[in-house]
Amino acid sequence: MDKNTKILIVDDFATMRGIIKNLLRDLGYNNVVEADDGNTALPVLRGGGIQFLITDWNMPGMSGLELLRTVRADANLAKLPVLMVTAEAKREQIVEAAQAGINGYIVKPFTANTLKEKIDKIFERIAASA
Amino acid sequence: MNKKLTKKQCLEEVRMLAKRIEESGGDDDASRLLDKFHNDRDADLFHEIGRLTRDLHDSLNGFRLDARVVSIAEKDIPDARDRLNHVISMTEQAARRTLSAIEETMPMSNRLGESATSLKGEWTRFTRRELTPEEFRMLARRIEEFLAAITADASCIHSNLMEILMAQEYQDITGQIIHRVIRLVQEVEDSLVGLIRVSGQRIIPADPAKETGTVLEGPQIRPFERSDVVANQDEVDSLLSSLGF
Repeated sequence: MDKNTKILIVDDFATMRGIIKNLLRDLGYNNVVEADDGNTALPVLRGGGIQFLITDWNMPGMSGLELLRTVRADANLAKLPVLMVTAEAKREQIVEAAQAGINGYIVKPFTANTLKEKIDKIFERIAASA
Repeated sequence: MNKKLTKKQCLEEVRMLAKRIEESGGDDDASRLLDKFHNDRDADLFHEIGRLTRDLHDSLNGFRLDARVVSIAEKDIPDARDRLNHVISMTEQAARRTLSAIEETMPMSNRLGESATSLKGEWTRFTRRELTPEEFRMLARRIEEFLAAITADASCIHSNLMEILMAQEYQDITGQIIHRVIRLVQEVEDSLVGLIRVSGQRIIPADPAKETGTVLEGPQIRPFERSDVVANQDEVDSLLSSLGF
């Protein structure tokens, strides 16, 4: 994956955004922007230029799942790779996220290595299908 | 509504009735007074039935409220206690991880600082051509060792900083758990206010605080005890791969 890829991190907890941002920087991704829920993320996404979305699920305002559905329903954003990083661990919820078109799902608490693996896998798949 | 007559008023009325009968022998006044006695008794009866009806209504409302209070006491409070205990253990673990990473890193940064200061002194002597050839050889060896130490320590410091970074994850998870407990406390408060209203003999409006169907559950504190939740990332991965991911 191109290290200049522009990534949007959506999480209502600033600490979690900070953790993901630092992990990404450690993996070489420095082009990162942040939003604190789906409602603030959408204008950023619609503004264009975001190539990868990492989102929490449970957030006030618009949840990560609603954000995912909105993204998939938007012709300009439909193909955006989306990684969900959430504390929601119910099987039926993971299935729901999968059906809504998630590209990867990480359950909190997670490790730096898990994040790296999932990102690599998502972009390997995209490269393979391109 | 007629008020209940006091004993004194009753006596007064009876005396008056006797007096009327004696004086006039007229039936009209006497029968009017007798009717009045009768009506007063009916009014008391209605009043009593009204009071009983209201008591019954209050008791039924109280019963509904009691059911929620019982569920809070039996299920939600122990659950909140477990969640708060989980918060304690997570924060404790995060503090321990952070402290041990710091304890390991601080001597390293001190050692690097001290070595650099001492080398700087030697280097200044070298630039002033004050070193003997033997001293210069020693300086060269020390510089080489220092560079090797920096390489090793820098990688160790970096991994400790990452460890500190990851340890901050607790804030997100404990934050979510505490939010849930705050909501429960709010509900307990509302129920208590409701109980006080009922015991204060006032009719309260029905408040069905119904739970909605599928709600997000947030962090699992005992995932291994449930089959409907995943316990770790491996289980997420195998579930997703079973779905063709």
